[in-house]
Amino acid sequence: MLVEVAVGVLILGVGSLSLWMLRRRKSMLREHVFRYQTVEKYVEEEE
Amino acid sequence: MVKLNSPLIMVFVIAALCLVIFYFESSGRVSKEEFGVKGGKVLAEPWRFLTFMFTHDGWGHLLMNLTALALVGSLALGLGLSGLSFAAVFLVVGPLTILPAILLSSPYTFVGASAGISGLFGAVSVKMKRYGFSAVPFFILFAIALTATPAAEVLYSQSAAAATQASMHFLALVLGAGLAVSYRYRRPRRW
Repeated sequence: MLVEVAVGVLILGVGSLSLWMLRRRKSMLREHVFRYQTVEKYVEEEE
Repeated sequence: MVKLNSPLIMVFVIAALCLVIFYFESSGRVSKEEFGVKGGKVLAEPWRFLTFMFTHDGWGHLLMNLTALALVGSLALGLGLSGLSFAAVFLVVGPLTILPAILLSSPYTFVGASAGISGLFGAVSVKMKRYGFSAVPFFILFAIALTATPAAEVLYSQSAAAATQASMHFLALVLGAGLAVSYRYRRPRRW
């Protein structure tokens, strides 16, 4: 029982960490795309 | 709106099957000896290769696996894995992990979704490359989380059951990662 709880806690920690890293990377990429689109729109308007 | 081919649907289906079988186990209608994989019996009753993955040995075992299943399902959803590939990895890795122990005539009865779930963690670690991550650190982290405690028990009490558990989790992780790698580098179809 103790082993199962410990495996559960460890996998919960590692899984949550991976999920957090993935979400952070996705939001970073989304922000990057948004910035690129904003700059592109600005350049088009200037031209 | 959740799509039908989403890993979340598969998580709910697998969890529901585990809970239904656990209810029957708790009420004494079935036992792990009837649904689990055991060396001598599995050739005569091959359906055990499927039922063992949904059978659990107590509340702690079930809760651990359901927690891990929910986490790996969320990761698969975030990585854009399809429900079909999620189910395929779960159903292929589970029986493949048990096979060496059966061939070596292990005396234990194997139950639990952890083999399939470890396989899914392996596949997810490879899929992390899609977002620019290296697969190796995630694979190592998942391997530590899945094998450290049983390995510590082996060192502490020389338990053969814990050694089997640790090696099976690791084998499943490798098989899942292998499946994901082979799918990633498959030959393109020529029509």
